[in-house]
Amino acid sequence: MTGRNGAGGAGIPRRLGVLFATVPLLVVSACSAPAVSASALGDAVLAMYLSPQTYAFEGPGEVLIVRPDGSTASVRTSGMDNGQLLWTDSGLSFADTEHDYLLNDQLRSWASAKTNFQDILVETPEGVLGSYNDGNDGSGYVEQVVLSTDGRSTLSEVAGFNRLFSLCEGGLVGLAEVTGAELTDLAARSGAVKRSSNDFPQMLTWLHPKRATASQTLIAAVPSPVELDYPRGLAPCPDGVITHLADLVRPGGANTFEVWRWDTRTGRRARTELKRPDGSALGLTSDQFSTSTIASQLDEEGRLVWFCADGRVLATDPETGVTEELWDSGLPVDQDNDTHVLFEGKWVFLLDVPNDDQRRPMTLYRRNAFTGEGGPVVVISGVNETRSVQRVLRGIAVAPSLIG
Amino acid sequence: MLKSVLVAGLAAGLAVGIAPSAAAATNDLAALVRYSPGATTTSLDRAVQTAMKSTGKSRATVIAQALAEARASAAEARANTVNAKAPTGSVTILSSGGGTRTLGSATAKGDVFISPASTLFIQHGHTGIYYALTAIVEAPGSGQKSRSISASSVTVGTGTVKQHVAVSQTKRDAAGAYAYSNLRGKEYNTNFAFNRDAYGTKMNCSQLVWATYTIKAGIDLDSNGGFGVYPYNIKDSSLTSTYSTLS
Repeated sequence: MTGRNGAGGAGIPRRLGVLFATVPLLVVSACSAPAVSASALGDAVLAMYLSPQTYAFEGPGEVLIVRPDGSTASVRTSGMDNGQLLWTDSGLSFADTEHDYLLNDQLRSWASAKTNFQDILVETPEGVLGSYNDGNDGSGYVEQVVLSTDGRSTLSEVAGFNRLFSLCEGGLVGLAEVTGAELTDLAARSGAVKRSSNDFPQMLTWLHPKRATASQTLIAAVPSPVELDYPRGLAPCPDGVITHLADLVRPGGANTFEVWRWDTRTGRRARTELKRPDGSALGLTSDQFSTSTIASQLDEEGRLVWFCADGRVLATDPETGVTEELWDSGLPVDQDNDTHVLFEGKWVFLLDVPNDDQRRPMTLYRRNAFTGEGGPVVVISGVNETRSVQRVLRGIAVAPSLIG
Repeated sequence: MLKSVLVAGLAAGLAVGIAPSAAAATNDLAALVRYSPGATTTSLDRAVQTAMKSTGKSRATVIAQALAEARASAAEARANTVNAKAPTGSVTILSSGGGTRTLGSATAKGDVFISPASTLFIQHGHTGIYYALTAIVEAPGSGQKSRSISASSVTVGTGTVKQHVAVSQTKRDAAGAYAYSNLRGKEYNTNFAFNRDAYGTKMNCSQLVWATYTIKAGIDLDSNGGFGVYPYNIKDSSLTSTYSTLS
């Protein structure tokens, strides 16, 4: 659990320069996108991270920049499973196993060695913060947290196989099964103990800024006699209260779907089961629920808005659990479609990625998150057919100009 | 059908007992290296020596048997790949490998998944074990630690199967828990050909799954009993049964 600093200094690394020089030889098919030029970001509207998974981690990763006419340019990286993108007024931020990057009117990168599975990438008052799943070091599960600011990255290690994240008052919070010697001892005082493989005690901890002691790190710990899973997305945290969805997973599919609220100032958790306005169950499968995506902000009525993997956009009242349909996109996440979802302000961006016929192009839609009004932004040809287990489409980001 | 043909063919090849020449052994070892991406001739040769001592077989026989098994594994992993629809006459894709699917959850802890071949590197396919219904443990690529990943974040090739293992749920639970608690943090083992070491300091994907059930359930998921255990050996085991195919 030690911190370490990446080498500072911005600039295009020699390795990247070499890659750019060889791109026309290495890149074929949809990858025939030219390497990003000095005026890289320009009028681009969409960015996509394509990368190999950990078990297939031999090849490069690629960040594709998509212009309004659907043409693309690329930045080759060393790869990052589950690679995420963050597009702010400062530019497009991303990471690979060796560097952190900022792309605006030029590409800047700096040394930042880390593991190869990214969980999130968010903006904080201090800079861009990435969180990475590193695995077990023998004494507990380790998450790497990397803060990048002004061409310099700092890595620290914290505890947890974190499966839910939230930004609370400038700090990063994670929810994970209890792990780490000191945190395990502390959690036990709250009854959050793993007595058998059927126990999944949870801990809510501060991941960044890193706290000095375990007691300062632990916000709350709760026992759980059932397995838990959480839909995708950064959970909203207005006034220090995190709101998110939870799947209480039981064999045989007898799952329960709930909305949880954690007060990070008191450590108290409130749970409410989800239900339709008529009181009936939502009728979703566990896989549909877990591949849903929540918005990172509550709506004006304090409801949690989320994209359900069946294609509908729903809103959940955290106090009652009542969940109503706002509209239906017709773009499910299933065997035939791999819709990527991005909530930004009043908008939801849906990248339709056909699975059933990879000859079909991808299409980015921008729709009002509450009404569904809107339409297609750009059609991207030549990329969908290149997806494979070594070229998995992960994070997407849209230009800030589309959000305002 | 394919399962029985492959197993029978391999068994027949092994049983014939032809004594390959030294020159043939050298060629076979070179071929075996090609079927073991990341492994070196030296490391495989060392494993051959160990196998010779434990079985009493000649060097040439050990290498020939290991090569036959590797070839059978790669052939079956390729045969199970469901290619994505690609444009007619399309140019070679950088990392071709067919369509992909989200792995998704299991129906029981301790279930396993087997994904077909997709690239030269993954020519034997891939496998992992569910330590929970919604999270897996796998031995990832070379140089990486094993780690747990949410099953909704894992993308696999079309043709991937999810399987139950024919032991009690108590033993499945124990196998999953063991993988979660004891088999992480190990370096990747590039040697599939001689990987039947349940307590190895290095692990590859099929070795990890096989080891958990060897240790915690006392069963052998290696369908052909060769020197190596490959992903499709687990799929073909009489102790595993497919309940879902991601087509």
